[in-house]
Amino acid sequence: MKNIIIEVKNLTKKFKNGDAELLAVNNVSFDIKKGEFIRIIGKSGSGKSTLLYQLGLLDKPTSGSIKISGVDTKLLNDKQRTEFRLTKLGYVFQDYALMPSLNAQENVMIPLLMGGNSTSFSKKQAQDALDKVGLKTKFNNYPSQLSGGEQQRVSIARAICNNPEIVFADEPTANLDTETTTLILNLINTLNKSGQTIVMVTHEADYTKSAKCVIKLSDGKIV
Amino acid sequence: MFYNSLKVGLFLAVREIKKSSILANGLIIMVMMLTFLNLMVGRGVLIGLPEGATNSFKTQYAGDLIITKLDNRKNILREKTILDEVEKNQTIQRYSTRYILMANFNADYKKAQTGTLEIDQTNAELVGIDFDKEDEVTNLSNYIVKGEYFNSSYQKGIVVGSSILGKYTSVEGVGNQTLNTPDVGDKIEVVVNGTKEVLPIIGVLTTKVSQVDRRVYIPKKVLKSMVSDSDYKIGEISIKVKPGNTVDDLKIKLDHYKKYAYIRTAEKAQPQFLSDIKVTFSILGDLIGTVGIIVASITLFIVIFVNAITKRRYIGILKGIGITNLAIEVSYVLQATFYSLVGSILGLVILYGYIVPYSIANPISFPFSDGIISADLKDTLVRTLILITSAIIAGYMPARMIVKQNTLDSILGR
Repeated sequence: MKNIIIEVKNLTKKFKNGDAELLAVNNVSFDIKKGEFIRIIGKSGSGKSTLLYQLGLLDKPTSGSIKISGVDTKLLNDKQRTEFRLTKLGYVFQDYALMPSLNAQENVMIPLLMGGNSTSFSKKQAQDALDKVGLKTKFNNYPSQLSGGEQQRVSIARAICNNPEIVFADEPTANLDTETTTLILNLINTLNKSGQTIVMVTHEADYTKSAKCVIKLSDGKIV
Repeated sequence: MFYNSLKVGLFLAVREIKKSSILANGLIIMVMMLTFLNLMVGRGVLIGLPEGATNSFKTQYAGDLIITKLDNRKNILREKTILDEVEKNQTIQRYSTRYILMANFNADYKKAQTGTLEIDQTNAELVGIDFDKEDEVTNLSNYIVKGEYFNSSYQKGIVVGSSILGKYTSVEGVGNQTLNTPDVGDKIEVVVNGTKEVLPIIGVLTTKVSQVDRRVYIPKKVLKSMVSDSDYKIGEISIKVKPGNTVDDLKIKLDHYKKYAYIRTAEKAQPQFLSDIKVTFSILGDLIGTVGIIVASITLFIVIFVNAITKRRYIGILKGIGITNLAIEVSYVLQATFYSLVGSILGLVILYGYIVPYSIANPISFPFSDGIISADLKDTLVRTLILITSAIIAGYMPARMIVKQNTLDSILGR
């Protein structure tokens, strides 16, 4: 199908813990279409974050395959995976994962510079992205000078600045209060409405009510 | 991608250094500076010691070039021809001729006449000099420790090297018999080629050159009056070259007289033991320098490694968002380069701005040398380059080790 952006087949991820083997993701298969907003939900330890890491090429599966935009990611070497992450994927981490030595604008600029853009262009793009997430007045603030919600918005700006095909978000509201959570989720919803494919992990069932597509995991299996 | 990696590496390094606390940056730079000084000064003292001896030999005795008699001769042959050439040579700034004869010095000359058994006497070289010219070449007057140097109104006397007088030296033994009782103002009998003359000691000099300290100096006019013309011959000519001219060029010009005298630069003429010490100390200095570089590398490795380990999670995040390993490695290498470069520059400023001038003004007094801290600029720059290269490698290795780790493990701190 033309619209499929992520194609997962028989994906399995095992972890070894001494002699014991833990099956974090157990033979799951699904497709994600372009422009979809997929929520991966489940209880703690259900394997949702592990699944996201595999989809986002941060980790390699034990078996099975993941095709993103038609590319079999199994065939990519480490360098190509890094480049793939830079150009095709965006990440929003649970704890924002901003570089403390860089201000908001510079945090957003790094992937742009890495993509070969000039400093001035990167600066402009970063400012636009920060503007989009409502941080127009905080360009020069360092992470330590921003609230949790603001840091997460910088993280979202960093994720979208390179116009990635897919944005992965790992429990982006886990550390935020209710008001800020609503703000961030609205922001992610707005992004999706503008055509951005989003895959988000969350364990908060309340926020998935509006979801059109939900992947629910339990013991590593889709239920 | 390579250029982008360098650009991002630089971007990250600059921000990392700027955002680090002044105290942390200052501490790392200080460690690098002290490492640099440790590397340069320890070796510099070892090299400076024999270099100081060479300098003393040159400034207090040989000049830039010294012409001496051949081993089997009493004096320089064809002295007039050689002297004419020296006179005419435009590259020579100053020179001093020395008339050298073995003499006996008797402090108990009165007692000896009355039959005393134990006579306070010694043998040494009696050196006739034009005292003004000699002073221009070797600054002998600067080394008078008691009494005074010759002057136009005070010539009828001798200036004695301190190794000859028991009151000024503790070195006595076979080959270094001293005069025990006399001091400045006392008269001693000088016996040269059978001629006896009682002369006062007008001054005592101490240098760092044993040859000088074992000599007795006398104005050449006085010496000439004591010996026959056939004995009054030049034994040494010390030459100072004009600034801007090289001693090697002068040596080449005078080398055709080598059948009649030894024509050597100060470096070549210095005693073998000094050359041996120089080589030995140089090896020791290199050894200490190598240890210094290894210590510097390990220090920087630890500093960068601790820095990288504490930022392991951020390195993982950078990799996660698509920053290349190279960019991250470049960032750490540039930080290491910055710290080592600033540390080295500060070290250079302290070395050449304070330590070296101070050591020259206040040399460490050794028996055979005024020890200075040797810091040849070219040599220092080579060592600085080695230190910075070591720092770059020491900065690269831990960054490489952390970057090579699994991205997700780094992000999750596993």
